[in-house]
Amino acid sequence: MHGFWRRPAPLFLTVCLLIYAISTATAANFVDGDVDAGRTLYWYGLNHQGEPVTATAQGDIKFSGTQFSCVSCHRPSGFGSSEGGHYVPPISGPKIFSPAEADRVERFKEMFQESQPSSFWAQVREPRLRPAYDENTLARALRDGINPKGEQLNPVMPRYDIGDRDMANLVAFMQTLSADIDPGVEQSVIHFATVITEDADEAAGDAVFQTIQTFFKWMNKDTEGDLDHPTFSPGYRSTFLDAYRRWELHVWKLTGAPETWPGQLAEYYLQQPVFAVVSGLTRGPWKRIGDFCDQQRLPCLFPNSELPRLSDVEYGYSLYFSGGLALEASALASYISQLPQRPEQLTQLWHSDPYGEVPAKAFARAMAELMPETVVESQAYSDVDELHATLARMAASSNKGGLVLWPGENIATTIHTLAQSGLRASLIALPSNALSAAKNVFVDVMRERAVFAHPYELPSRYHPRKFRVRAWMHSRRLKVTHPRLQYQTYYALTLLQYGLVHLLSDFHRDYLIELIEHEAENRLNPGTHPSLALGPGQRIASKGAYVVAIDPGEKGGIKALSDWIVP
Amino acid sequence: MARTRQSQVSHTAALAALLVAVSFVGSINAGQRSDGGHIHHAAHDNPTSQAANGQAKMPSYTRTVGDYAPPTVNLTDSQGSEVTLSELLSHDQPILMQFIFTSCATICPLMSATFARGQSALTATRDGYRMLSISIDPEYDTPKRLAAYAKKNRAGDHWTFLTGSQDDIGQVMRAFNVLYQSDNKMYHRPYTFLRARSDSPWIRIDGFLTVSELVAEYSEALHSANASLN
Repeated sequence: MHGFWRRPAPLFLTVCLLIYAISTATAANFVDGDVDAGRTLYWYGLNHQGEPVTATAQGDIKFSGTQFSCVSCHRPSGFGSSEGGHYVPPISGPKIFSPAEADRVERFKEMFQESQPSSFWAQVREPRLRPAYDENTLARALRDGINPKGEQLNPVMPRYDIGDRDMANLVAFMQTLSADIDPGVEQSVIHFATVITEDADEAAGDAVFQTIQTFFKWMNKDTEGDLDHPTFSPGYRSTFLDAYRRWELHVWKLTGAPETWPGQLAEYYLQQPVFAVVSGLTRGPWKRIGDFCDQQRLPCLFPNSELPRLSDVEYGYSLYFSGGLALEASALASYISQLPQRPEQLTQLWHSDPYGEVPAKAFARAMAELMPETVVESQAYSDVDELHATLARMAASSNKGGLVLWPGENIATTIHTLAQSGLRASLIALPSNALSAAKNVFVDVMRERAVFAHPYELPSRYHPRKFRVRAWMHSRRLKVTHPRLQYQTYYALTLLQYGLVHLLSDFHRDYLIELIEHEAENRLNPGTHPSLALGPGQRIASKGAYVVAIDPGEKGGIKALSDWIVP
Repeated sequence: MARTRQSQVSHTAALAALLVAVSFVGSINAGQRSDGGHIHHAAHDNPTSQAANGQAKMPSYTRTVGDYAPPTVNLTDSQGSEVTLSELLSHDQPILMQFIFTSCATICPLMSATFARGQSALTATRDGYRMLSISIDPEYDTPKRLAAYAKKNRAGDHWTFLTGSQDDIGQVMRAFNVLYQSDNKMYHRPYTFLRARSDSPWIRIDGFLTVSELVAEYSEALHSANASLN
């Protein structure tokens, strides 16, 4: 011993050099990775050659990257998830490549806002601390399941069989993952927009706007109160003062032809980027606006639109209440297919605008699948005169099959024309937006035979939150002129508020959407729909519709003819 | 409503042997069974400081045994065909059942992967079983989505995926006591149910199983059922 310590240098240095040589020989060079290839690996579990990577979880569950991949648990934002007592830690660039240190705000979040496993509560005084990962320790974690402290990771975390090149790609991607906070957020202000199209119903648009404005006003009053009294801290508010922002609303009014909307949106966004778009009222298909939301990775939360974009909807940036008129068409087809006496022939008339064409196509598709033996004659009409002539021919003929009519945008005149036609079809199927006009003009046989899709809650059903929302509106002297629209708007706003409260200072849009996905199913439904629920990647909160008939004796003047139909 | 005997049912030596076989350290207390049996408790959420060996793990689930009365509800499988659950469960065959949803991010992929990988091993142990994956998000999980999910998990003919109306699925969940807090499916837990014969009690597992644990539980259930016949 003494001898060793008297002449330590040569041996010690040799050992150190040897260790260094071994460590540099074993540490791969995970730099210059391809971010896009890393994203493909993170999202789809595919390596740089487009082949699925393989992994093992729980010690012996071997699986392929196509079954699930990083994004499944760690989510698009990299902020992880908590579900059913299982917690997946955040792995965004700034989090994974920094030490996990004791942080009061993070601890509060873990303890009070997320679902934690029992082991967390057993060791609540030992937070999940670790040194920062680097490329090599991250590779070791992914391949061997060992964290920078040398501890085994949870066996639920898969051990991946991936090569150096794919590892470099993944590292490159993870360095960009939620690396910077998203646009629309300033030191003391967070910006939001709502989209209202020029030709939307003016009174309805105003009701939506007033609802949003009132909500913002009261949100900001609360924020101001908390910031003005930083030491008064019930609910530990003072801990989160850094997360507070004043909400600022921008109204993006779109005018002119829909083809020009993307340009207008881009101009608005350039003037003032916003963190999210909330509610709004649009006439015409949402597609152009939805495409813009996707391009900008901008959450567009629950627009009041009957024509949502239904293709490539999952993991998109628009979140909808329902499938709109296309859903109504599918629900009506499903209802007709289950009638004890199915009509042998159906005539489908639709006004040649998107409000007629979209449901007509959806109905034809559904009928071909559900009742391939039934003849469906579809015919577009361009104006009321043409409709009048067609209905007159049908009334005069001996054909007493069913009629499906999509009035398009000109609802009142169309319904009036139908009421006057004397048509005695065995069944007259109409969308929910025709119900109000039909209640006023349908009588006798027409009233008895008319059925309507109704993708909303029945008026007779009780939802406790409906009363709370109404009380909130009344106490703030907000006129409730369009209850459903305003309640829907309120729902969108409360989900946004929930998301912001849980984001704290992590202002990342993907994370906001993930929080909303998680919370949508909780008790915020203001009674507009039987249930509102999302899940990871889901973008349509209500999935079905009733079929109803007019019945003045019932609450709301309608009675349900069907159960809740989910086509 | 289910009558649940809170576990006190023992694991057999077969299960203990398998668990010990897959464990790296001798820390698995599978041998702590007594006459009255025991409940395994979850330990997997905690990073352990064991040596770098991915195979080392503690038993990671809680196991209880109970009788559950499945409701007579019509569900729909991934082919769009109607299935009466009580009828399906009345067949005298081993059943392995999970509650999942196809868009589930955190726990269902792993649960389904256990079933996926377990298929051939269970067949080798004893064929003739049926796996059921019942969606707890039935409005989103249409038969088409279930079919895609089945394909992704390379499900064989003996694995059935079921959806239905929200009310009917709710009845099934109540019957098997798998309701989640706040009526929010995001709070659901990883339950696997298993029974050997139509008159056998259900083994209810809360937590993640490895493939070998699934096979061991299956073998144990078959063994217990046979023992009860003798």
